Amino acid sequence: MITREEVDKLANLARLDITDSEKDKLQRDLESILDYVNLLNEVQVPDEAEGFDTALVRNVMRNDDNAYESRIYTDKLIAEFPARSGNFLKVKQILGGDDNA
Amino acid sequence: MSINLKELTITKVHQSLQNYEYSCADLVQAYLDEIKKRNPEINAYLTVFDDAIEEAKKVDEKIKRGEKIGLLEGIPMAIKDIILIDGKRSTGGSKILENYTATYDATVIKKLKAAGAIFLGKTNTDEFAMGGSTENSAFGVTRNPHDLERVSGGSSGGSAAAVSGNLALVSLGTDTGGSIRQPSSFCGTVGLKPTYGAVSRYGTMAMASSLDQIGPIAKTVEDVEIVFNAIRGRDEFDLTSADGDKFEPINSDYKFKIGIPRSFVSSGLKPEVEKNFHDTVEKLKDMGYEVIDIELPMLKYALAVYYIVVPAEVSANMSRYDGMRYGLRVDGVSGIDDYFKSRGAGLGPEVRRRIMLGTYVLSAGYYDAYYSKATKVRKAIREDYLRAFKDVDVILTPTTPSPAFKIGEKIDDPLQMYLEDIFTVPINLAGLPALAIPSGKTETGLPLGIQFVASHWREDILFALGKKFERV
Repeated sequence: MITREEVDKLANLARLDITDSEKDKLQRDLESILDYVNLLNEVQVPDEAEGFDTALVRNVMRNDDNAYESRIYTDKLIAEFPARSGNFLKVKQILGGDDNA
Repeated sequence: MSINLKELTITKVHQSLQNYEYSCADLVQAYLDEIKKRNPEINAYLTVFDDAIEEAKKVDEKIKRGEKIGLLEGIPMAIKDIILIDGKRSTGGSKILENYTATYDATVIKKLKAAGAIFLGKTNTDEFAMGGSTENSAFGVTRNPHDLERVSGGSSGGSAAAVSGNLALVSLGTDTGGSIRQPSSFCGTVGLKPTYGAVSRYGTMAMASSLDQIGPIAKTVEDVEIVFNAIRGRDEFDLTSADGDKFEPINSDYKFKIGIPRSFVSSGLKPEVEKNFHDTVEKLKDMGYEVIDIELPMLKYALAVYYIVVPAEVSANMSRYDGMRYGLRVDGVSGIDDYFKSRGAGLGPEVRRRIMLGTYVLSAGYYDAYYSKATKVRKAIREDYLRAFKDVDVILTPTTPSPAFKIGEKIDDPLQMYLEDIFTVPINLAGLPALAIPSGKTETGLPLGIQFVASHWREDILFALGKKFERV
């Protein structure tokens, strides 16, 4: 029910490097799980049940103020960078490199 | 002096500290000694803090100065490794954060620090809280203190094992589909999954943001209640949190009406669980509670809804682990290849499985059939519960269909592992509070547990009933 092409496509979308043998197992696992969740096909729910129940979920807004003091977290955050150049996060070239993006 | 860790509760420790029976430093040292002795075989802790004694001494100084201390002051706690403590290693049970140091305190940690609790260390968890056995941790399984060949449960296996194995007095876990309640059942501890929104999720690694809750694990209901009261409350940093509805204080002698979703619990239980559940019902009747059968027809779809909604939310929440600003970065041939390599190397099989499943159900062409449908059925499940709570105060089920299983027994079949969550998962979908509480043991001494569920914001009912039940 889930093809190997779909597994490849999902891995690409999810930015996951997965070996071929793991993809085989994943295909079987996903099939088995999707098979189970297809149970929902037998449920009839009325159309007005569409979307979120606003009594349960609603947007709670806050004013965009009370910002924390500038630079109080900077050193701690920079210390966690896998690669840095001074106070900058170092990454590979984004544009013009790989056309597969 | 030798402190008997098995018999401690928060109130007992509080009194002992104030009466100078032992010092906080002595107490913390006793736990650290026990951790040194037993953690190598149990693997409850991933990191043990070297400053716990120092923090304990501060409490002792305060007592010496004649100052009054709060109930949680000096209480040794273990914290699940997906909750951030500033300056401390926080792995999330994953290779991708193996050497990550947290850069801020979670709100629950801020509150516990203000209350004077002492953190002993960070406990083992299934990777990013995904799993029911702690076998998905990148750092080994946590063994059940009652039987080392068996799992402690998950994902808060380390936190439950720490309390059960006397390696901490209380601990914090998280619960998205049963991750506090199931390990509590397997390890013989009390565990609370609060009402969704009761406890701030700020500073806790997100798994499924519309279900996740942080909660306490302890040996007694009162200890769980004390910690819950310390960590709950609306937080500006998590706008899904709220102070909740207020109710009249209940009379603890009130005879709550208890409902059992009869058809839902009638099959799939291991014989010992079935017998224990039957005995539990008889016990509650003897205590004077009315126990009736109720029907929750949508419950049989809960697991299917869960395994659509959760992977969908997981796939979004896991995208931040990309090897860029923190954590493991594995070099690829290009910028985007860095993502593939880092995530491929750093994220484990269960996490990858859920990301893939989530990506699938959210993709164009499948969204309506899966995610949209699941959201509608989720609403119907919640409505089943709201309807039931018009007739009963508490809903009762076993916490798990079986006691702790053997390490390795279910790891090859993800669906088998998922089916263990059948009683805990619907609660998270509906956002209800639930208390897992020990209800006995199997013939071979494995803990068994039951689950009390109340309507939104009624943790008070759970505590009142729980305290009566544990006394029997």
